[in-house]
Amino acid sequence: CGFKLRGPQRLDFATVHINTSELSELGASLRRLIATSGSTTVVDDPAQADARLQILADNRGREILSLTGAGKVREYQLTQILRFQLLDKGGKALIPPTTISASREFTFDDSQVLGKEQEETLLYNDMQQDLLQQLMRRLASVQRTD
Amino acid sequence: LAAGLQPLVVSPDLVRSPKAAASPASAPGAVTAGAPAAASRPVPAQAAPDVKPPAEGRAAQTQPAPASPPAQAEQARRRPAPEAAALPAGSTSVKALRILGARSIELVADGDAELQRDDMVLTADRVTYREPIDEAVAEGNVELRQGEDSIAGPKATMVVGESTGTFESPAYELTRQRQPNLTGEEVRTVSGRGQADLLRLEGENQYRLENATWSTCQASDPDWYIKARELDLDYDREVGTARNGSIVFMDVPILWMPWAEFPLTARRQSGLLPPTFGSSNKTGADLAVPYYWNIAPNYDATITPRFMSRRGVQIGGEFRYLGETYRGESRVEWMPKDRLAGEERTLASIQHEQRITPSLYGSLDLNSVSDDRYFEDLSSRIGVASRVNLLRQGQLVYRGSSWWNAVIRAQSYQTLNPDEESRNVAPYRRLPQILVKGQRPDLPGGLSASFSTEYVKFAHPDADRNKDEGTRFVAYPQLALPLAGAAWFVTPKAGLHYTSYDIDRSPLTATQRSSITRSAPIFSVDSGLFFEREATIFGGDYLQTLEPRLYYLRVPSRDQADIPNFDTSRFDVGFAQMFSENRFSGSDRIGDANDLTAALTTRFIDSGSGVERLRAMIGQRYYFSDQKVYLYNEDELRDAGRGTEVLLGLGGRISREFSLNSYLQYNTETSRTERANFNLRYQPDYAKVLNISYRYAPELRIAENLVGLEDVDVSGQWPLGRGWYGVGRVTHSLLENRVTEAIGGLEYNGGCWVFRVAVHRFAIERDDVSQSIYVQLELNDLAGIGSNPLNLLTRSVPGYGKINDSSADRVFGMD
Repeated sequence: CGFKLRGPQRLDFATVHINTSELSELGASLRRLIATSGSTTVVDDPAQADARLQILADNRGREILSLTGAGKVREYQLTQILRFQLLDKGGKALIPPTTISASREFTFDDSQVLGKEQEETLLYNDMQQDLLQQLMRRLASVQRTD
Repeated sequence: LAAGLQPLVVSPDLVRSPKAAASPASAPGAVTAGAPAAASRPVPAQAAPDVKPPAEGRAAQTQPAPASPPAQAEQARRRPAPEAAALPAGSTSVKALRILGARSIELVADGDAELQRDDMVLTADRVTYREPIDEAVAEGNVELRQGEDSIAGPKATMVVGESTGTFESPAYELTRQRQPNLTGEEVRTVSGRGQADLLRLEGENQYRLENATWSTCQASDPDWYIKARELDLDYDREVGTARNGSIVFMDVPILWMPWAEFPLTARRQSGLLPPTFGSSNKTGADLAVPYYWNIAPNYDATITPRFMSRRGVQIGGEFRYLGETYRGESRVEWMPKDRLAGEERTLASIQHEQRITPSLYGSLDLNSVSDDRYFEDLSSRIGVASRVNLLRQGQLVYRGSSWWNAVIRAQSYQTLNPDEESRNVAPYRRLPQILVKGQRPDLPGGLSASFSTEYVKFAHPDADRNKDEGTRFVAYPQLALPLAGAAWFVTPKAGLHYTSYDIDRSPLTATQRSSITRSAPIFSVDSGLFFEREATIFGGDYLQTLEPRLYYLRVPSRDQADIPNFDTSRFDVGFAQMFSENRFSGSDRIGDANDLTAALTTRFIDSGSGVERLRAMIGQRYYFSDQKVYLYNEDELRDAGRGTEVLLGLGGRISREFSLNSYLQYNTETSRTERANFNLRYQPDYAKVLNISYRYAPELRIAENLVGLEDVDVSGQWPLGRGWYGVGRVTHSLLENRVTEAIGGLEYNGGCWVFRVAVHRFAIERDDVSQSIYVQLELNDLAGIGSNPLNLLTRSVPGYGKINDSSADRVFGMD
């Protein structure tokens, strides 16, 4: 059916600078993902980097999806919105500011707020992985023109 | 000296047609250079016909700029005028059909006269320029242009170098950029226009007007404007001040303002915000008059007196601050006496985040209300009215390095319990909870180690009745061996989950053990493959992926029946949850497992950009052993070898206009659909969207209770023509045969203003609803007057588009 095993996911820049701290979960995950691409290293000095990945916004939100007849929350929808851009050494946009988002739904009950808090964490982690995978695919599709 | 200067005479062939400034290069000109006040300086260029500036530059320079052309609107605030290059900086040129006079006394430029310095151009029928005092007097069709700004009137006098002077009965237009809120967002410009009896220029960026109007409307006869006896426009602070003024809408004054400041570029600033008024069945007519105080760029406050016709007067205050190492927000609401409830009602809320050292963070989140029905009675916002548990938490987070961190927190909740039936059981308090977590990915041999430890002391207000209290200690070290190539991964992982409890039993369970330890090994193998192929569908080139994933989990069974439930609930069934090590979300239960989860994902990814267009997933779990560990009752348990849920998901853009998000959970053992979610969106254009959504979960349980769910939800926004838009949403619970939420609204776009009206009704109890009306008039780039339904519509109608491109958002966080 034409499917082949995926080839190496190389990025078209040897060094990259990331503007989020490696102490943050997002920054640490990004660094791990870039490291597994094999050919690209993350550098600390933006001036040394072939490309600069800037996370412009990372917002999380929770909206009511459905209510019980008694007006209490039965389901929530969680969303995470990641906004980023990729600049080359000269500051030219390789990827202009782009927003990607993910959402997950879960049932809620006020009497289980502690357990649901942990389920929320699990879903946010899942969304973050999802968004970072999408981000990596966009980075992989960048062809530098210089 | 004056006598020595030759008067200028225009040759017949240089006469231009009055309108077309087509060949200005051939017009006679006079160029004077240097500081204009220095009258005794040498005269480099005589006001003589033979002295001509470069022809090309001149041609560009006299092109009258059309009023804010769209292409130029994107450019810099004060775009350097192209003519600046043609003339030395600071020099003045005078052109006209006829130029008379002596330059050291006065030059009279008559007929299509033009005086220019740097990027400032003054044109008139006649300009008299007195060089020694740098004064220009312009008469007849006077127009002053600078960048995109223009002021036009019959007569003006100005001192050119100081940008001071007066215009008689001018029409003006001043344009400035507004800094974007988000990096990369398009820069917007805001143009203010109007007329006045008199306009005084008081230096750069300072304008003082008498009997003046100001509006962001394009038209010469604007739909709305600010009218004021005195109007100051300060473009350094970007603030307009109106004294003895009013807002006039459709020729009717709608708001009288003895004194008001307003934003010139839709930026936040101090001042009386437009009043908020609405109406709801809980409060009656509801009027709030917020005063916004922009104390400093990083501090602000809003003080809001609010009057509710059924209840009385409330005072609200909000204070926000942002520093290099901290930020926060505090809010109080106080109602000395609620006429309906007959009591004092208050709310207090503090949020604070602080970076203490680069690796130590602290935060406080404290919320409190005076009574159980506070939000239901006093808020018409669904997200607020539905609140049951108010967090009270303080925590410290220490990030030792990139591989470990520690958290200590004290947490409790205020639980609101408006109705006895609603079983709003108070959650346990964690006083304190200490967490230490770490992960080392790059150990010798490719090993990856992680650990998580937790110590909690649980307390409960009902401890003397039916709630156990106690402490719990959890340690969970794990070791994994992640192996991966470009197209595959295998991660075997083993860990030991150790827990010990010290329990203060409640009278209800006094006979049970008070000291319990539990340890369970947890073993799993996660693995996956990545295939891909080129595919041409949706009329484009796509990369289609095929990603099978297998997850095996083995956890032996441990008897946990006498362990209290402090913080544990069952996960929903879902794609994220099916790959978790524990089917319970807390540590009070470790689910026994001997099962294999298989999932297959396929994605369509745009070959050029990497954008994911569509995703389909299927997953199922197979049980090799019978489950024994449950939280509420034995119905939860799965038997070996029997059928289980199949999960199906499909989502993405299926065509240019349609997008779909669907999820199906089907139980092969009972042959029943356990859950079906289906959302279809049709969005052919901006602000033109229809959503239909169906949510079905007949066996949905909340804790041990079967609650079920079957909702149909229709929402949309649709242009009705002539600037009108309809917007609405209806959520109907088929199970309870009740509309749980309904919104209906109309919007009208009047060009430089928008009118919105929306009615919102939602269930708050079985036999009670909250119903409110929002009415808002938004004057583009100035303010919204009334109560703003925008947040409600944005949240409730997916794909909702704001019908005017305005940036009047002076107070964020309010709706």
